[in-house]
Amino acid sequence: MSLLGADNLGIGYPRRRIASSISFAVESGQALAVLGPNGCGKTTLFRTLLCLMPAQEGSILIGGACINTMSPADIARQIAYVPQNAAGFFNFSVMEVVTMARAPHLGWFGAPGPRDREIAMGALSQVSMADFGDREFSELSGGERQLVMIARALASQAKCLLLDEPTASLDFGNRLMVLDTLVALKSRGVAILFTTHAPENARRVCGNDADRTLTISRHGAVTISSTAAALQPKALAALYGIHERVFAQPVA
Amino acid sequence: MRIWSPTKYRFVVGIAALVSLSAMLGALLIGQISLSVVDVFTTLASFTDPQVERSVPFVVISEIRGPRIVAAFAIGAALAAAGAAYQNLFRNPLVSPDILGVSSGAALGAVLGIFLALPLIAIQGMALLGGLAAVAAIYWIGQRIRGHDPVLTLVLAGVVVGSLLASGIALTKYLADPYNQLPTITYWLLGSFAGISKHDLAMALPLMAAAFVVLFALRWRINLLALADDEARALGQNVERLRLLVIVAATLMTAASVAICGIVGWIGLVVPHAVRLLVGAEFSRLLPLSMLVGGTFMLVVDTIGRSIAQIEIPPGVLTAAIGTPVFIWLMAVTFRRST
Repeated sequence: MSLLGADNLGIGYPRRRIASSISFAVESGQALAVLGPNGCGKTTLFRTLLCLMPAQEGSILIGGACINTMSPADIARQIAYVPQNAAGFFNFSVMEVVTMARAPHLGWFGAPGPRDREIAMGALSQVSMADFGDREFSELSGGERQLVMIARALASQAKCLLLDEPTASLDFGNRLMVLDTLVALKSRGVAILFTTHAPENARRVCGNDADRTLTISRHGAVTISSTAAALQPKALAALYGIHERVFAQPVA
Repeated sequence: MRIWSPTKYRFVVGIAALVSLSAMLGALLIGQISLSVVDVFTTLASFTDPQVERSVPFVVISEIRGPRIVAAFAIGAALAAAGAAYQNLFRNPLVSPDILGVSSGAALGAVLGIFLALPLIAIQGMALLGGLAAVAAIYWIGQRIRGHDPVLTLVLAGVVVGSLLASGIALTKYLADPYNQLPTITYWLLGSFAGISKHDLAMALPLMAAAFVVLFALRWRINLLALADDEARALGQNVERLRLLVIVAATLMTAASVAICGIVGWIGLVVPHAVRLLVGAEFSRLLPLSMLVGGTFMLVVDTIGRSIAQIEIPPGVLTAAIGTPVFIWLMAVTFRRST
């Protein structure tokens, strides 16, 4: 049974369909990269999967159950979202940021207890950030922030992570650090969906045979295939609307 | 900067509570009739005894200074709590309880009450209604205008509705009787604790307490409002319902204060902002300390205002005189730290 699946899903708005017939299933320890040009609907797909906007057709399944039958808190306990470039509005500590993920496990008037803090600490260790617990979130580097956001997603104890551009605006070193963390999580049975602008990121995280890459073209055409097939120069050239010759030099 | 440990936080809250109590005691001693510490303690010890002689210290404490001290502390604490909640809600450390037009709405209600020569209790009721109506209108506008950042829409709607209300106040002043009503209106708009009676407190304190219970019960969950809406929703939070609850609670606190003492600015802006720099943004740490600091600050300002000169200096004038330089300093500190 898949952790997260889409069946003939259509995304967009009632008067403007962005993409249709999206079907996939992600299982434990599997990764799915979502590739496509700017504005093709990658973020819309994620927002639909997270129930932040309604699906236009088809259905979304979490652990075999239709998402429409679940409460927002139920969904939050199953799939976790890592937003793009989380800004530090206020001076929360890293630990406080990570503990926020316990919200779907607590009542309206509840506050996290020792057990919740233990889970948050465990999540921080999983991304090798255990020493940063009482540091101020807004003072971290971009890569460290991204790792903390991943730890927050883990602290909700969701088995499936949705990451929107996890490496956007990160330098080379931070990018590798985040990608390697994703690979390590995958090997521990976490299912990972992420959008990316860089095909080489898909190769790095979705390299196994079981992993898949989903592409959405500018006109809403959706393909799902093995990563190797999706990264063929011909396929990439068609996806991004550029000439195949650009790939005479290998990308990564 | 590392965030304070729980032990250090508790220690600081304990110190702040002690400072608050000493400020209350000090405020009981200071005034036109000066009381000694012994007077105050013997009077307080026999306070509930019906046989006690209606001595001068007893009357001063129970009728004049006592209600005024309770009012000043409660209003300072309420404005600081409301400010902390609004700053979290709007993800902006520079907003204050005035941001949603609460103060302007309450002021217009009260000014109209004075203009129509209504009794005091009706003036206060109109202030309360005015504040709540202004926020209801702004929230309604925010709900109708979709497709924008909801927080930005609320702030902008607050600014424009606030200026409309201000012109309503200006019109009322223009039409008011310049010998009787205009001085009352002007005096009231500056804010004053001089006229606060036990009756006023009996009306305002339960409202403030009810609003405080809501904020305190939600003290951890409010943190989720500091996240982007999508993030909070992805954590399973019903953002609209939480935001509405916090707005109603913070507005009730602000409007109840404005109803009994007029407009006192700056506390709701400066106090939570300064406390956040010390203890961090986590609301269950921010709320108690902000309230202690806000209450003490208001009490000290009022005590200074009523004792340094022959005439009383309106607290709004003093909070602005102290608040402006402190705020500029805070801004400089914040910017230096973030660069």
